[in-house]
Amino acid sequence: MIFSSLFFLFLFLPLVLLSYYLLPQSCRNAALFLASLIFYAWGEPIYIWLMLFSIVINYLYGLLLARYEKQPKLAKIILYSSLALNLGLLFFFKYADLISQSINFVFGTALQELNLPLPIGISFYTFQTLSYLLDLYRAEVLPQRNLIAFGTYVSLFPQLIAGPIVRYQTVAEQLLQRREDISSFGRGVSRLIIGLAKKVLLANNLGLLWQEVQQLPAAELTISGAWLGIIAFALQLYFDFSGYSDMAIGLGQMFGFTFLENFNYPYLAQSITDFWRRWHISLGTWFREYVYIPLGGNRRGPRLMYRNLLVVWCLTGLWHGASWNFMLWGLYFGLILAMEKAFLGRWLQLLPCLLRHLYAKVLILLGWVLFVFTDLVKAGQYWQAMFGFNSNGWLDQQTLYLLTNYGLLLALAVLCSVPWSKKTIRWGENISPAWTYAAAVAAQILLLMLTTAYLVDSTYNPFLYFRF
Amino acid sequence: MQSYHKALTITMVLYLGIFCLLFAVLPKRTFSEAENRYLQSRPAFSWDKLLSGEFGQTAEKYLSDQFILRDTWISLKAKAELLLQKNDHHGVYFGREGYLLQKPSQQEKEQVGRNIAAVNEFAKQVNGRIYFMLAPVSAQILRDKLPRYAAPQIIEPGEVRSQMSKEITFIDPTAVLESQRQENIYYKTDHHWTTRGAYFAYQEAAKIMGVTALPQDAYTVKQVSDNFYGTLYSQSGYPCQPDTIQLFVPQKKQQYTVAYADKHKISDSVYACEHLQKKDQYALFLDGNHALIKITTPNQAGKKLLIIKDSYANALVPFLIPHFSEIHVLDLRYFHHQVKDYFEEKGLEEIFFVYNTITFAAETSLRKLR
Repeated sequence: MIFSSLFFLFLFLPLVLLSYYLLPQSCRNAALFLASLIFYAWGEPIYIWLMLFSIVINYLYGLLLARYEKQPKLAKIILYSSLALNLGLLFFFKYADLISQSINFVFGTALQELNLPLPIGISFYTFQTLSYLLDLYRAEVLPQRNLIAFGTYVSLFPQLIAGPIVRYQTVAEQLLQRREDISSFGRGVSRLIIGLAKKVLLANNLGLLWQEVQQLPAAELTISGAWLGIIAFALQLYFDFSGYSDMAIGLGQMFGFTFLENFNYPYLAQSITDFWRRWHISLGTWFREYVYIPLGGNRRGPRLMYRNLLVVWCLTGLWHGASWNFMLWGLYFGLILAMEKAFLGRWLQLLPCLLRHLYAKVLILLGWVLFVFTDLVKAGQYWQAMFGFNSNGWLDQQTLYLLTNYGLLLALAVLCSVPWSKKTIRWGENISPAWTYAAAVAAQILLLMLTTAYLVDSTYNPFLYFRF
Repeated sequence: MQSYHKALTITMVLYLGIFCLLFAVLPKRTFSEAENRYLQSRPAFSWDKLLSGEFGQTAEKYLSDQFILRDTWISLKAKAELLLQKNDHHGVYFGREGYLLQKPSQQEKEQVGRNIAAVNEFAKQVNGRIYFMLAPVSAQILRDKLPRYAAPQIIEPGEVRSQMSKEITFIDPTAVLESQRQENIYYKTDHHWTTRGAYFAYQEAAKIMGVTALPQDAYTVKQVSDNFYGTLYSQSGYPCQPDTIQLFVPQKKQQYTVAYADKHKISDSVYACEHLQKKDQYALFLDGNHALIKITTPNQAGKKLLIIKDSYANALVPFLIPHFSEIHVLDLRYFHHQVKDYFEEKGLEEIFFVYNTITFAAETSLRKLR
């Protein structure tokens, strides 16, 4: 099930909220756990067994780690076997075909591909359970002895399928004791509406613009057309993903949870280092805590630091998808980050603010080209189009048409990618809080209604006789 | 701040609660006029269906199909898009002066090539004169009605003509339609040409076929509908004014019979006026699309014609009646026999293809000609 669907919003969510708040405190985890399992099983019932297996086995690993924490060697063996199992599953379901394809490509063999559908959210919940086991091993958290509470943590539907990656230590206490109140519920409602609007009103429609550009052969693109396309994609991805995180955080709040933020206006970044502190923060934190620092981070001399950066960014890239272009994309950022650490960062400080923005944005956009095209040849052609190497000139009628049709949407999207609304509300609060809040509520009702309209429209399916 | 969050909570609870409640109590619709299809009814539960995921999909469809005020939400979205200055959605341009125009998705050059090859090969196999009319659609003729800068990618009849083999006589009504563009030759809310548009194409065809077209004043123009909301309206949900439908009724009454092979129905008129009470009023012409229709006229001197066509021909066929003794109208999408055999068996003499540019580029049924 996905959040941005009529079924989730108008049936699943109301029913879950109703049963959750009618039940006494002691049963609420069980209710959430059950709801999460239904949510997960809805689209692909078969993988529910994988999820249950993962929950039980990692619960047991947790108990074992706690039991043998005084015997470091044994604890280490337990930890490694748990890592092998969890990463093995992730690897099997997500990367097996990539490996067999690559082997076939290089050695000309004919290994059979598995063609398994990817279990939804496996990249996210695997990283969550790993954070629990690793923190437990490092004695940073207490073991979770309640299977229902642990199951609730792993499968919690707000962040189950697209993050944020909630570390166990963030919610350890909330799992057993959390205070649901009207104030946090209201905050959650607001986040949910904003997330929905970002996804349904902005991301989906920016996606249409990107589609229009993408379906043209790169050889026919003009310079402005190519930039327009990739800017649309960059904004689409941001609103899609951060919208999803907003919905997750908001839904969490409606059930009394507090998750950490996952995005912080990434396109305000003035360097790539800055960008990665603002984009998908929970993933960056995970890799820093569980890979970069354990490898020695930057404390063992520059040579090892660069090696560690390389490892982390290869993995970050591959995490995004089972295709080599993602690894290249990770490496691309790894290289820039290494250069910024070495010298570029200092040079950037000498530049005026505007140029720093330009530097970051151009590099980010060039990066998205690598991200979006799994075919490297196509990525190369697109870069050529962006810099006019295919000599189609600056502007054509097609681009003008797209600009007139999507110009307002783009302007709105840019406005929403900077903290404009927050500042407006703060400004209004100083003048007249009552009116500001009234306007904010009205605006959110409007967003909710527009979202509903767009969601209903997406299921619009006229039967047109001329198609037959 | 507290009251702000309280207000938001109440808003959301009411919004979701009211929808849930109304969904539970309101009667369900079975048919959607706007979408011209049956809506999903309450799914029957079974464990098998649940485990295969089928129940989930049907349940989602049930909820969205039966969503309260469904049509209102859809038109709200169309209006929001217009407010954002977005002039096309669901494959329809919101043009000037109330015109909706087709915006085809990227046309496949390969499919066009395959279709031309199929027609060329067919022409070699059959004995008989072959005419091929490729009718431009409204977005090609009424370019001034398109939104600013719009450049729909639609194949031009001229491009196809140059690839057709010599045995085929190509009829391109582009020039005559261009010259009559002020005359309401296309519907505003439907993707077809009007009777008037079809009349001008008939003039062009008659000239090339060597018959004398009836002049315009040999017909009485009869308006049969002023509330026609066509396919482009259904497809887009854009706000618009309805079209009128006019018929060109010959002043000198023509005798003929129309036999619908698949329905075993015989009629003495090419117009099926019962469709005027329904949504799809264009089906008035030749009763919509049929695999095979046979028109017999008392004109023994006329030739026997086979028409292979899409729905554009439906408004054109009535004009051809006085010039032929038999007209066999064949729709490849539903016709499942060898066309060549049929042509020879029935002793037909000429073949007339009628397609519009968008259907011709997308149609896959022309392979049946081989």
